[in-house]
Amino acid sequence: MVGVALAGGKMIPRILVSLVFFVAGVLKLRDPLAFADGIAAFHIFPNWSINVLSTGIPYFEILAGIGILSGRARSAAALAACGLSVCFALLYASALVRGLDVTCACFGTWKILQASTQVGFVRALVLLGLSGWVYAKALHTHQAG
Amino acid sequence: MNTTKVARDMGLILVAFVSSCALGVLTNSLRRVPLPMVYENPEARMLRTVSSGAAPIALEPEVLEFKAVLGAWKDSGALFVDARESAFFEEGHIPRAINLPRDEILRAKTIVELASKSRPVIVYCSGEDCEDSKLVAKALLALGHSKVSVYSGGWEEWSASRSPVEK
Repeated sequence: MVGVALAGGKMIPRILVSLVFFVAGVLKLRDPLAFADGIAAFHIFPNWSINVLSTGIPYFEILAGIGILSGRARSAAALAACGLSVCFALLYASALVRGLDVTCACFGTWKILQASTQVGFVRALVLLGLSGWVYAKALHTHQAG
Repeated sequence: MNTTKVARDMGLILVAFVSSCALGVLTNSLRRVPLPMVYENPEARMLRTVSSGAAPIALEPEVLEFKAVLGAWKDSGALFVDARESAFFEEGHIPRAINLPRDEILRAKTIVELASKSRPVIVYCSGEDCEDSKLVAKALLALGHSKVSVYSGGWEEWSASRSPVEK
């Protein structure tokens, strides 16, 4: 019973990170224009790259979300989730430093999940922590196997 | 740390990222209204949409202060346009104003076509710092409305002045 509970506890961050990336990808796919505006609001990316990123990143997030729950590609997917979270955190940090008020449409135009720059930064850090944990576990499992 | 494993993961990620971008470009080209290859900001999109493909014209609406706006509201001749999101409009707005958020003018320019183009139009948003009133005003000018002004003080100044409000 305790073993099942522990296994369940270990699965929670994995399921959570997987769900966050999968849902974020699906919501962005529904409105890539809003996500493009969100990327542009950071004033970092050149205009030629924004629409490629806004249409491509959602698929990448969906792949990462599915991969984290899968067996074979779990560590690669978790590492991708870490990479994305680092990028989000750095973007928000740079926006905070420059005094920009950014709503990135990271979850599409779903207003309940739209966040201020500060909340977005904290959210990215939390996601980075969880993704890092999932990646460490995936590597450990690989080494143990 | 297993460096071979990490290197293999990074290779897989690179392939997945490039494939995702390629898939994004492909599916975008199949959309009913695809995004252009190069990003356009909302103002450029709005002006392009309302001017039906013609080159954007440099249009600058007149800026009105509170006294002039109050006078125009009392005369009842001007059409007041609230450019804020509908949730804010529903919480309170200048009486007789219509709600026309920035994104709706992109999707449904017919709303503004209902008004006579010679009727004065006063556009406002939250206050001094918001840009949406200027964007909507420029779009109305591009649509052919000749008397479009921006109320710079916006909702913050109007509500603070104890002028009439409608909910």
